[in-house]
Amino acid sequence: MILAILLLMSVVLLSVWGVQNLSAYLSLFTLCYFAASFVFRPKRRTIDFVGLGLLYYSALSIAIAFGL
Amino acid sequence: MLTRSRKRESGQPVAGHRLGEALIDIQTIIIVGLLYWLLQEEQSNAYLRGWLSSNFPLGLYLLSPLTVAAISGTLLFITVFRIAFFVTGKDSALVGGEVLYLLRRQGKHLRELVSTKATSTSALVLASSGAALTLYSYFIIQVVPFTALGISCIILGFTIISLPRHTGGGPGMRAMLQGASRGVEALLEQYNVEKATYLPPVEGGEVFAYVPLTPDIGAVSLSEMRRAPKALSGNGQRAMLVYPVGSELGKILEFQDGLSLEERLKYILIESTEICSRVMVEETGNAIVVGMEGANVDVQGQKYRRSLGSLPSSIAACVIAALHDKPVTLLEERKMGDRLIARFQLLE
Repeated sequence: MILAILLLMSVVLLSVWGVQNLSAYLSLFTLCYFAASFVFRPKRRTIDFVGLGLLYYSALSIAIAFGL
Repeated sequence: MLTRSRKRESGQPVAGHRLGEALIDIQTIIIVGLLYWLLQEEQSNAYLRGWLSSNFPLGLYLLSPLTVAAISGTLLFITVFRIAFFVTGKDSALVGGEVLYLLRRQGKHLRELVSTKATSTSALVLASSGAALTLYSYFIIQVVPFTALGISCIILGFTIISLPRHTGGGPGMRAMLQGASRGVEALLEQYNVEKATYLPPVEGGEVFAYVPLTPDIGAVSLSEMRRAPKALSGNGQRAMLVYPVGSELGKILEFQDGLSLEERLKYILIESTEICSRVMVEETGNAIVVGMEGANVDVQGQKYRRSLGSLPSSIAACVIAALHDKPVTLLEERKMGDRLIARFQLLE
């Protein structure tokens, strides 16, 4: 629930500021996801594949955005 | 141990195996190179772009820098790991096989979740809608906030899937289980008990454990086991039925929906009681091996453990008996570091 609110707020805030870079959204999602995971420390049935995927693709998109 | 046994079963000649792995790596690198070349060509060749837009518009999206980077990155990531395993001498096939095995099981679990859990179905619907919104927004209408909204739906959907269905357990639950096992321990205390046989429930009832009280009990049929007394009556008593800690597990509503053995054990041992952190199951005919990581085995008395097994194994035996509707006996338990391996045998 908290994560849903955080993600929705991220989308609304960034779109209001006129951010058109998808890597900015992905990075903020990653930040929100790991912040929520760190605070609530939920038990998981599997490995944290969402976190791993977010980390990987946000790093990739940032690298592309900075032309690395 | 489970992984090793699987590996031995599917053994291949080492040289051919390595050659195959090397060919796969080379193919991957060539594919990435071809993708990069196509991207360069698409960006510099106006004729190719025009041809794609008129004959194969999807190709324009597939050859966008982000898509090429994502595909190439994923392929290279996997290849780098494979090469690293090869260079360091670790068995990449073992790890790869394990990953494939896990993925196959995750797919199976997802199907089970869809068929059994409304929340998981909703999560999958959320993730699918998110994926559709993402693709539509990114490729068709090209609106970044909508794309991000779709991605956030995907994240939420998969997060819901990865979370446990129920929270609970912990030290309080373990203390109650320990208390529940004390009653059986007190009953068995004065006897030289032998390995128990877990009897399947009759018409949705309880799982019983048939406990031989003397070593020379011999072969006993299922009906004779069921007729054994549930209380201690005197010195000549040769066996008795006890309620193991997991005797009521067959009555859990979620278990009526066709969950697999591994899902049931995860549900009980990880999600509900937190008695262990990971469960792996191997079934071969009437033999079942259950591996439990982080298993807490010191929460029951000595007699209970000698006859019915440690608490995680005892609970697992109850779940197996209820699922297969057959008597189950715990053949052996082995504690290896943090991991407990229990071998069960289904009796006909």
